[in-house]
Amino acid sequence: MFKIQSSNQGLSVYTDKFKDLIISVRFSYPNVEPYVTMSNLLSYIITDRSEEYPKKQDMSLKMDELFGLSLNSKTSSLGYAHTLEVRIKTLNERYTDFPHLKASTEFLFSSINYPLFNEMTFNEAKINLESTLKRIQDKPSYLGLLKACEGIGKDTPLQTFSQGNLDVLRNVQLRDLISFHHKLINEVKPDILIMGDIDLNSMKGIYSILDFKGHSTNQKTCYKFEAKHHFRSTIQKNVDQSTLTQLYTTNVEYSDPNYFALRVLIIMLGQLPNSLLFQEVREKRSLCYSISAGSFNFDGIMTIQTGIEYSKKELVETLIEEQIIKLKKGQFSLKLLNIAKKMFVNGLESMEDDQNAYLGFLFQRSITGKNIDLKESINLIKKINKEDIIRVSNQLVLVSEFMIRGKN
Amino acid sequence: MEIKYYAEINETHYESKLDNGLKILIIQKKDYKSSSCFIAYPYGSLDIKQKIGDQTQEYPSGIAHFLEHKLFENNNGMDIMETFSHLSANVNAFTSHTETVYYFNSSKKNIKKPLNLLLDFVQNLSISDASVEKEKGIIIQELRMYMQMPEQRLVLETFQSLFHKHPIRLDIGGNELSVNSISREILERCYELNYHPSNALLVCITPNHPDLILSWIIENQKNKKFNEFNEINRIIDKEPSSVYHKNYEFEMDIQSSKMTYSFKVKSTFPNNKENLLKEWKYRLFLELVFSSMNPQYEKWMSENRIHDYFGYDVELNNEYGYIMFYGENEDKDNFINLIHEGLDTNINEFEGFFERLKRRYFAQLLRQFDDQDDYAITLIRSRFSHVDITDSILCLKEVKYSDLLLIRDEILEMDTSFVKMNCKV
Repeated sequence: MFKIQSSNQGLSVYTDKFKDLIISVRFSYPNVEPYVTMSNLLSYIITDRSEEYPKKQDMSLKMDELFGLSLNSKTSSLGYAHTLEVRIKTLNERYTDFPHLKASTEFLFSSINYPLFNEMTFNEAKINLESTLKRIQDKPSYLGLLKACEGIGKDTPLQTFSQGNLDVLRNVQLRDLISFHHKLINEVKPDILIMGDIDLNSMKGIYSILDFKGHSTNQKTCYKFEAKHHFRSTIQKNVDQSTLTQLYTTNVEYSDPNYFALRVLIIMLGQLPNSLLFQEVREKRSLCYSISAGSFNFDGIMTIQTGIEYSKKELVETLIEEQIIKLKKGQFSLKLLNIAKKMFVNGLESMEDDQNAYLGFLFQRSITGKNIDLKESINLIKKINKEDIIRVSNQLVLVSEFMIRGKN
Repeated sequence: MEIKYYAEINETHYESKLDNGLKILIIQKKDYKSSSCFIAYPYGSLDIKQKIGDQTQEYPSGIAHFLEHKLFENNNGMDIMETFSHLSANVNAFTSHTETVYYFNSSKKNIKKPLNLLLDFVQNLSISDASVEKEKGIIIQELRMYMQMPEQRLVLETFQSLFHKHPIRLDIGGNELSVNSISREILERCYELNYHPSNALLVCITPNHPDLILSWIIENQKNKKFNEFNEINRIIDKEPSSVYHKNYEFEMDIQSSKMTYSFKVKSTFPNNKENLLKEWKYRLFLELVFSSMNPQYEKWMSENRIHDYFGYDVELNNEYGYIMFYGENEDKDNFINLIHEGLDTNINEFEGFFERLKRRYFAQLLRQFDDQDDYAITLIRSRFSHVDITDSILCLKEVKYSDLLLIRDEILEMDTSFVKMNCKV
């Protein structure tokens, strides 16, 4: 059983079922450029070197000394908010030769507060981020989503790619980054989440070390994206397969009462082997290997993506449309609805066996103020009925379609 | 049931073998909410030439993967995936070079029904000519999807340059020609040979008591009839120690050129525990030299010779072995020179870091036991390669710093292959 404690200092989950302890520090700020690109640069620099450990080798040796401690950082978009997470994962002291929790926490604090800023670390981070962004764009599935969002997202969070922007990156200067870091550390109170097998005193010890100066900013997150126009575009790429990406507005975001109904609808449409899209496009007609539906939960967007032959584009588009019409008209079986609900519940319940997923759930709940726990969420999902699905389906509007046309 | 406690990882395994040959391994995780069960067969993409008794049979590449697709076919009118979903269980499968694995996960405490379903559908193939033909279109789309993923394509091209004959050089799913040549008869024959319970390993990681799980499995298996099991052996033609292509370049629609520089291990040990030990020696040596533990690494980065898309991969087993370096770079010579500069590093000054590095890997090995999927797959692969689950930890502990002093010369004696993926303009 988990023991969850929430305080002004942070959120902690006591459990002895894992061999690791995770301490996660998450800063939230507006999801706009150049913040997003700069936070991705920071993400590289923080985990690379610090003033205390100014060489890569020093960092590496310190982490190995702390029993293979891992220091990771990542960024993500949550609607109007963008977050920079820095976390350590360290072995439970039960498996180690000497206590290291205090030293591990100090290492985390020092890495966040005192990263090594100089031209060398800055340029290296820029090169790394540039190469990452290019690699992402080389993958048709990512490229499709990026372009479909760009096509409709002007002046909205949808326009901002969570991993940064190549044009912004080229113009960022070291002094801008230092100033952004200073602002983050001094003005934003981060969310601190701890999960693992530690006693109350150790927990207090962690909070006292992670004494950040910032104050709560109440950063807004969820919004319902409204498209000003419809976007449709095709590019040619020298690949074997064509990739079709569609975006739909849903008028439902994470904090909306209809959120769980939307998620169930998406599972029914394209997240299970017996989902409507999978059955119709793949199983009945062998038109693709993969077809799936997904969502940007904080923006109120549903996505559909598939890899097909270009000559079958129109047929696939028609079939997708037909499946959505089936949902709108209630022409689906209760069996499919019940299966989707069960699988959603199964996924939520299984989160308790995955530290990262569980902490992610707690953080999203905390940042949106959506104060319902896992049990309540599951109860709400179980109550979803056919009418709920029909109602939410009828809010779906296709607003963006991007095709990467392959050779075949 | 045999109970084995592994003090090094603080884990207990409950093992059993049924009369029909099915091997069972149960791990109770009392605090876990969900259960995961895996049934695995040592039948992967490398198994395209097999010896059964004194007969040798050959199959089209991608046959094991095709079979994995077809096992999910409607069975006596029942949609398997849908039935799993109805039981609140997620089902999936994968085919690798050396095994095919079917598994489900469920957060429900009582997993008797999905466990029965897993055993029932895997132990019964029912396909038609029409369904086999239909599946070809799906699999070909899958092959095309993977072929346009730059990293995967680069690895495949590297294997094709390293190996002359070994089937590791073939895509796990085969190619469009081989997929199109597969028929119902071939699939049925391969199923008959390779899916006998004597060839299978069932792994359950669950909060349930192992006795209860075992009783369900016994009940499921007791009335099933199987043909006599014929011992099957994978046949691998003798592979030269030289590489197939010293230098190979190809184009892809990407923004930055990628390359690999690989060393082909001349010969490996018949015993995989020895290969595991050797692999750790290589890994520890390479990590000391080609990571931030080496001050040169920081210099290489600052000179823009490498960036974070740089790394290496090592694999060593009783059939083949290689060390592969990868990176993004336009200049072939620069990349190759960097690898040789690294190999020439005097590692004497790193002796003091050696134990810390081992500590890092020890933590990584322990961590895999917190993740049900990682745990089960590690167990399956250990069993199929005839090593124990803790052998990796024991081998890691066994490596001495002095062992690493010989590695450089050993690597430099190997034949090398360079592969470059150029940007297509």
